[in-house]
Amino acid sequence: VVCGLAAVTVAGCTHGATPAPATPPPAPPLGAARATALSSELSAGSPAALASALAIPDGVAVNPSAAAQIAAEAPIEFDLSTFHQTGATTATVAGHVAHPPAGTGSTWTFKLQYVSGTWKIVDAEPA
Amino acid sequence: MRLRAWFAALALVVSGALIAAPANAAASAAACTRSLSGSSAPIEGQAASARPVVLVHGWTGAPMTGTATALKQKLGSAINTFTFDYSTWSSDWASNANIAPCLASYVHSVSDAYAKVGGDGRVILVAHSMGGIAIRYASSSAYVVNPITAAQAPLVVTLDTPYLGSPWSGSQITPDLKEALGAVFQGRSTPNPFGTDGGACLHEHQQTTPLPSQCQGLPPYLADGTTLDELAGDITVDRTFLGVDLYSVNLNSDGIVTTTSSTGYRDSGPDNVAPVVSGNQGTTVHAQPVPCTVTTGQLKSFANTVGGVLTSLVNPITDATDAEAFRELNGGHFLPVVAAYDVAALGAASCSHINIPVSADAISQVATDITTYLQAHPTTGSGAGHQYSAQITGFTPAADRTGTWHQESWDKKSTADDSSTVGIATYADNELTIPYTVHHSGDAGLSGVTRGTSSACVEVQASGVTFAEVPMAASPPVIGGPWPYPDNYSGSITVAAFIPGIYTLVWSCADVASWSPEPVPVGTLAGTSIADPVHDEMYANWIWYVMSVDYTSSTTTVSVAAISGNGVVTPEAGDTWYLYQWSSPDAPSNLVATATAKVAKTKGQSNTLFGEAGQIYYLTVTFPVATHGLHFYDDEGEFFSEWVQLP
Repeated sequence: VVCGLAAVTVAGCTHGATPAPATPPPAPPLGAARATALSSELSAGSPAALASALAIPDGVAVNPSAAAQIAAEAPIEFDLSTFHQTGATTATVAGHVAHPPAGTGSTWTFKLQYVSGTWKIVDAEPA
Repeated sequence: MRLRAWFAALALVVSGALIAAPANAAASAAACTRSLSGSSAPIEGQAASARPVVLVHGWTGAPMTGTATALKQKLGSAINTFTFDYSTWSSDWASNANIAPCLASYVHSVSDAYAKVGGDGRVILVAHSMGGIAIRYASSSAYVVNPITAAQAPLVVTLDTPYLGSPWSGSQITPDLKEALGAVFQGRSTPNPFGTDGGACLHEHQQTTPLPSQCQGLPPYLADGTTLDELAGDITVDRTFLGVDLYSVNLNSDGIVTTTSSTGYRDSGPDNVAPVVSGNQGTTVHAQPVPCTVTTGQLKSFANTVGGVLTSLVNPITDATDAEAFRELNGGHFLPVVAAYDVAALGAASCSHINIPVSADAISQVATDITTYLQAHPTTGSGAGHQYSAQITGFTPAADRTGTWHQESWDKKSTADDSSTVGIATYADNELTIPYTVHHSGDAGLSGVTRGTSSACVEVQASGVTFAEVPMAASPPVIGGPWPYPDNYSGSITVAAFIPGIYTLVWSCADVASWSPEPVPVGTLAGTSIADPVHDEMYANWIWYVMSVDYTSSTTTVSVAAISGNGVVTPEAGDTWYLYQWSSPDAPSNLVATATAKVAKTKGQSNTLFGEAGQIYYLTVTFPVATHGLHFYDDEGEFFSEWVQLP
């Protein structure tokens, strides 16, 4: 038995054990203010505002016309009553898209991630 | 590579339990001993006007009938497709006795059948995945008793061939990924084939890292003179949000084989052979991407259709894993997050490894490659319409030429202190120009005596052929230099050079003191020239090259470069040439036509050193027939040359 790997469960091996990684505190629920901000950012039509709303990996080149195309689908209103936390830093919330993509309904499920103290959108799927 | 036994084979790889028999570590030439009944009948549909295209499937694959159908739809009666089948052994490595030797045997059969109906016997090979590796083994006498030749298969097109292996054959594949991959291939699988050597030998590798012992060494290069087109599926995933493209993730892969690997022929040569940068082993290589794009929405849709573990792998792709995937892709790593993209894209992307054989873009590209070849080598029967020409694609000066003058002693002749140097050679317009100096020691008895270049002194050799009298011109020597070194001769020797090979310069004056000739490398000409030096039988100072042959339905036009030695008759406009039906080198017969030669142009110049030597005469002769075989006579009935078999 290697104590470093089994210290938590094997009696007598706690000395020198590797501590368990710290669990991040749960993120707060999505508030009305942040939901309104997300709606505004998605409707703004500017790349900077879009970047504030979405969790976009560092270093990627965002399609320059994406912000305007998404703004054309706005307004997007989030139903906070549907907010559902799926993990410590992940959640979903339903949103109503005024001008959804062709062939899709107006209600979408938005996937959220709590990044640097705020909720951001990582994806969306038709509900 | 339809990974029909992927799951089982991969399990062995991942567990480290490579149980394949380690027999036959050393290469040995083998003949095909099995039936080829699973493949298309070699005589099926053969016609002189339809170029045979042989399709070779990949690892765990099956005959490429879909590709064959798609190509026929594109090219119609210009081609005739044949599918080679080794599916029973398709998880073995390509060098297996039931694969490479049988592929060679099959190509021979198709070629022979084509020749019997009046075709020229040449076939085009199109391979998917490991099929491209099988062609390489099948083209080598080290592995196959009767290998495929470049004359027989001058064009090879490969689709996603893992020249440098595949990361999926590595140990980093997790059980989840294995299961997902198995799910993607579900429904495509056939019964578990024998053996698993293929899985081990497709391990990602470099030229300097040998394959496992049972793989019989890295695959040999294709036969000299082959043209290879490497087609590489290259998937880009468009990240979408609310139906809008946000950004793109280029996988640099077809989902199984990286684009580096599928375009890596030049760096995938056999053991102890240096990587080739161009004109590899006489092979012309073109790498062509087959790009395609798939959206994250399509990935998810595909994953949901397959279900199971694939769904759980793919759904997080557009959640929090993008950033990690980007890091790993940029770092050239292949971690599960990248593999998740790959495995989903395998099913959803049109240029993925499993979809590329029937991808519209790939089929179009293959059809374009074949069309390009057919335009240069049309199949209108009986040789008519064929065109062949000498093609030198480049010249690489000898590697040790780092300064203006090569410091290596060239001649070591004459008196003890004499020396000569050879400069950096250049090549242009069929001529190799070699600068030189000859430096005398200045001894009184020989001072002022020209001992520089003379036609009797210089030999240029290429690929084992000695062109004893080929210097076509030398600039007049410049005599100068202060006493005690009064005799410095500087100039250049220009040599007609029409064939690929390594050229060397040898000093061979007969009137100097005893010494050992020391060839000095000049450089290397690359290309796929048909020009073949034919030494004159009666006049040894002549060398003939057939530079091009152009057949129409009623004529045969031959362009010849004739390079003169010293003091012999010259070819002239008005000379009569004779064309014979080719039967064999020793049996000239059946005179079919005569024609008058035309001198297209003359190059070179007479000078005090070479006299008439070194002139190049470019002649064209058009015979009023379309046939093969050429025999040179001049109008005085003197025998000029060896037989030359036209291509």
